[in-house]
Amino acid sequence: MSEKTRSKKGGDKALTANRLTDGVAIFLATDGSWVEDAREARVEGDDAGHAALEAAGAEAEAAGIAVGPYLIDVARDADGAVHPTRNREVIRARGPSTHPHHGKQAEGLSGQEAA
Amino acid sequence: MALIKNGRLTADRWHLYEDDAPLQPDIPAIVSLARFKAERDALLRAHADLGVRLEPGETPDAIADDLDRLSVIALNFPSFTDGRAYSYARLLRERHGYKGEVRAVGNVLRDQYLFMARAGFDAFEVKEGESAEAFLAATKAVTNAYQRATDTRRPIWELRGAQPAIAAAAE
Amino acid sequence: MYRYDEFDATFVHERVEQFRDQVARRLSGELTEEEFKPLRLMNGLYLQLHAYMLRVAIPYGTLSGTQMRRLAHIARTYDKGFGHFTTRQNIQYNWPTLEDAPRILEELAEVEMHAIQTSGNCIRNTTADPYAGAIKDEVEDPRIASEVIRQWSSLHPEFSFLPRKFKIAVTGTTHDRAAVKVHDIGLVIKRNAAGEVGFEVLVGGGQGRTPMIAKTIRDFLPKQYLLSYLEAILRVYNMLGRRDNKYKARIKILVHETGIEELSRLVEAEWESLSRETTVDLPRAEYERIAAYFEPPDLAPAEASSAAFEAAQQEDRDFRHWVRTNVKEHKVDGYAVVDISLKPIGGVPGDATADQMDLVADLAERYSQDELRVTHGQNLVLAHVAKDDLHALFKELAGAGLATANSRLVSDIIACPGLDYCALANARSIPIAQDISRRFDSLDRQFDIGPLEIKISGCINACGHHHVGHIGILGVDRKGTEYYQLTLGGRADENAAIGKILGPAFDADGVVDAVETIVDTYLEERRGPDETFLDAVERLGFQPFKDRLYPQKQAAA
Repeated sequence: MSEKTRSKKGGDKALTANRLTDGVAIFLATDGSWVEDAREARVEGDDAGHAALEAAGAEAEAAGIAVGPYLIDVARDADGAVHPTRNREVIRARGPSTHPHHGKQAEGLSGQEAA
Repeated sequence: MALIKNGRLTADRWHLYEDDAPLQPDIPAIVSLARFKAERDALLRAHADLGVRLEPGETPDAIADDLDRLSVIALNFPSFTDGRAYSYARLLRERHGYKGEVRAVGNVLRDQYLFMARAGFDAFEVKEGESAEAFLAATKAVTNAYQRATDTRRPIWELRGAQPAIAAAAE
Repeated sequence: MYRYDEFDATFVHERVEQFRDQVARRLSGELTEEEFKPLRLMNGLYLQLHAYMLRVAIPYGTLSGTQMRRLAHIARTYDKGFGHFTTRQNIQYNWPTLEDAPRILEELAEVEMHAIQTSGNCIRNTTADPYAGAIKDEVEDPRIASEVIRQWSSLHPEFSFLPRKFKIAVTGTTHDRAAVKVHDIGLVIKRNAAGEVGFEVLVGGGQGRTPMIAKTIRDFLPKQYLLSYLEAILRVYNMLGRRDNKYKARIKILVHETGIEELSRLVEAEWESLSRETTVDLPRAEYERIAAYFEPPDLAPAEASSAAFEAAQQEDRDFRHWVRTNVKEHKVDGYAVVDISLKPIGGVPGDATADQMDLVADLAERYSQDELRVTHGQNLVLAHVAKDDLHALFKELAGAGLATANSRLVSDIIACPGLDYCALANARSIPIAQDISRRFDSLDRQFDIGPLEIKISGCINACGHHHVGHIGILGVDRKGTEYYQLTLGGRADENAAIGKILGPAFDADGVVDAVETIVDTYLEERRGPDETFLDAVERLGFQPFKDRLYPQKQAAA
């Protein structure tokens, strides 16, 4: 895990990676599938949950689905939707801030509601 | 570990010794540079077939005077990203005129065979299960090369029909 | 420009097939990401924030109309309809898939292009003066040496796993537009006392975490020995460059720690030995074969001044402004070198849409000998335009948003992709460039300010060249918030200098105000319009700027 992707210790976390075939940012969902929308990410709040996420990531990497899985800090908004908290991950979940018509934000994914 | 030599999978008759392992006489032995330096005379007496393994940072200069008595020089790649051994292999061949086996050991991957072969390696310690076909395919993936190296390929500029420049410089 | 022969074509085609096999092995699970990563990087394929990113080499920044049209086609077919021109004269696509990458490379190979060695710890695309072959006082077209280096360095068996990446730049004039002093090797083509052509060889320049200005390792290298001398430098670097710390692995650190005299001694000794052992240098016939592709175009003689051109400037104010900033003198009377700005006010520096690329391809064919250049300033150049054609050209460019009159002015900003795309970035760069450009949108104000280069990087790797910006901006992350540090006094020309940090960083809004404050201070303090920003900074020092930027500190002191 690089310095850029290190999340802080403890707290609510989700698992993200890039999809092998096209590189798109993906998130582990509650049903064990990988989704493009961060709002559907499975969230775990304790060490055992984080370990379970990481184990699922290692499995997906070995299976050739995901590349470079890592944990990100997340929070829930008033509606209960999940969103990343760090700037880098907010941009990753949405798309480039300079091209609002490109990336997930253009496809109705991953929380355009927050500024 | 399997060994590919001259493009073929072959049985490796050489034994790589750890520094503290006792040597068995008459088995072809590859030892570290440190051990070679410490036990040079005894090693050369006991082993008709002796090889030395160089790590990155240990240049061929360290064994230049003994090269004609060494049958194998193993150049280690602790990681395939450490490219010092490519220069060492060329220096062994081109500067020291070494004619014995130059063996790539360590993290030796298929996609590096071509570079290694061009730099003067002629033996490759590879993952169990690696095939000679894969090796040959990898070394033939690119037919021609732009630059002269240690292999027998003629560089593209020469194939284009030009004659080599007079090899004079720095006079 | 250079055209592939059968050897070049076969080489690039085989390289595509090799990569196709590697991608297939990765997708089948035979290769792990760890094993595959260096292979994809050596074909220019990165994994960034949102997707893969493909960096395509534009050797020494020169393109034909056909090649540019193919770049447009790739943007449209495999990407989202645009591309990003970089400070290494390359183009990057931000959204290709891994599955499409071999097909994209195949499409490139068909027009004599590739992505070989646009990443990885190898010798990267050699860059050159974007005005090569078109301006006065050039000793030799630097693209000849660049092409010679491109061929020699392609899949070099000894130098594909260097301690770190390795960048070479070449200029053929004393006024340096290729930033040779901030490259691992800089080559300045010159004549010796006997009138022979050769190179001054500089080593150890670079930006990143430890910016350094290159030092001269050899004052004059006869040109026939270029490749053997480069091979000697690279061999010494490959064996002695640090591999224990990637931030200390560039050759600049070796130069710094070894000393230029000792390194020079090692290189000269290596050169002498290898020259006895092997033949690296090209025979004269091959050098001349390559040089022939860069013969100056056969431009019909024309009057130095054109009545139509002068009249159009009188009538069309926008054209007059554009000529003033974006049109440079050509070595042949009656012709001009044209900068096409990829920096519209509020735009993304270096971005071009597929439609813009297509148009520029057409214009190059019609007006500029079917030849285009990409500059390290992230703009395009038409190098051989008849003055009589300038007005028609201008109107076509203007219709596509490509006629912004701001070459080397305050809104001609270099910016890396930053945190909007880049997995390494700490902060966004592009929005800062856009905000600064909007703040200075008035052309009269830009003319008044004069030449001022702003360069923005989103992290210390300095892809946005902030160290050599007249005003440099470096994005940093402080507890999840983007901050921007300002430097002053950097420059990338023949008098290259590293800018120095001015003071505490600003947030995203504050940094735009701060830049404006710096510019206003300059305008107030300068001796007159003839004293450029850089000259004023040199004369005044940092204090007047600090006083205005950090008044509370002043009050406390």
